[in-house]
Amino acid sequence: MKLMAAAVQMPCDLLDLSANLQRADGLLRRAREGGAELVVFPELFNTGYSLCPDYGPHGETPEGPTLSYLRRRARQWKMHIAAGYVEREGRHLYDSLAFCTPSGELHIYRKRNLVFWERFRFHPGREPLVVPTPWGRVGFAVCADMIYRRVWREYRDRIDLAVVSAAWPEFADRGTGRRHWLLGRVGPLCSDIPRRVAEDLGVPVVFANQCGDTQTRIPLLHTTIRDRFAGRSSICDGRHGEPVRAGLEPDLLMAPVTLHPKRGLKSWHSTSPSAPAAASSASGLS
Amino acid sequence: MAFYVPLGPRGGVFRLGTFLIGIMGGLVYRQAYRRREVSFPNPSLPSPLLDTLHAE
Repeated sequence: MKLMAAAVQMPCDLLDLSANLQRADGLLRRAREGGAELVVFPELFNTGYSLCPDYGPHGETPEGPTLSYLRRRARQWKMHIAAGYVEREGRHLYDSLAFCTPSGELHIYRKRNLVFWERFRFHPGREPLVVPTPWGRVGFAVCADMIYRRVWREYRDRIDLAVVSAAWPEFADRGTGRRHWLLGRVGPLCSDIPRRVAEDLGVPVVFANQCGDTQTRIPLLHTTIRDRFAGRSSICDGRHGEPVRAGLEPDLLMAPVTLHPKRGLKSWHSTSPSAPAAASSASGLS
Repeated sequence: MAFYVPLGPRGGVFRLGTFLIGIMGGLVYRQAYRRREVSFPNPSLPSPLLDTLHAE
């Protein structure tokens, strides 16, 4: 089965919801005009990604503006949309990935492997997420999740397509280009891992990363790297040919991918506790 | 936790660092968690976008 997938590579202004959503809407419109059925946005695309004093006031429930907007567009334009945002549930904050379907369903994956300053601001998720769709089962990961073997071992033979949303930095000074002594080799991995996963698991991988300037703070080392997001979003069509890649600049990648959904496999399906409430209130903006 | 791609000796340092940051970060997060209110208002949808949505 063929599916037109899109990966949005965009810069995100820190804590400027209005600017980010309007930028995203323009890109989503272009993806729709290109016939995209699945669109993936980067991690924390609505708030931007950086250490800030408190994401609390910017965290959202499923009734919040970001998810209301995404759910409405998904229904209106008959698209599946995956996008990273700050989820708030009571006092807890999560670095989450929402998956909105044209039928109004909402599924939420919470990032499990928090790195650097993230653990100071977010609570880690506990569960993988596999969502059945008309084209097959979709598995989700956020940024650093993808460097851990366990994540992909759990998804092996249980998914037909992988979605990865990221705010992955280069770990190199943007002025001098000098790589960080410890993490400098991690930056380029963002273009390598999705391709490896696609070949290894034999499923398409849609990887959307942020681009633009950032500062990466590493608490224990008391280090701040003035670097850039690594960009290099990609759409890897499983074992069917070369990946389509972006560079470092803003881009909208679109490419067809081939899914081979297997029949009769046991698929497990977990969502955050907030998902049922979201689904039931999905008509709020219509 | 094993890495999907080999990171060499730096991988060990990264793993140890992530573990220690996880402990420190967890303590800091817990303080912020306790200060936060259970109920809260969502941010509001930017009005230009809201207008666009309603117009279509």
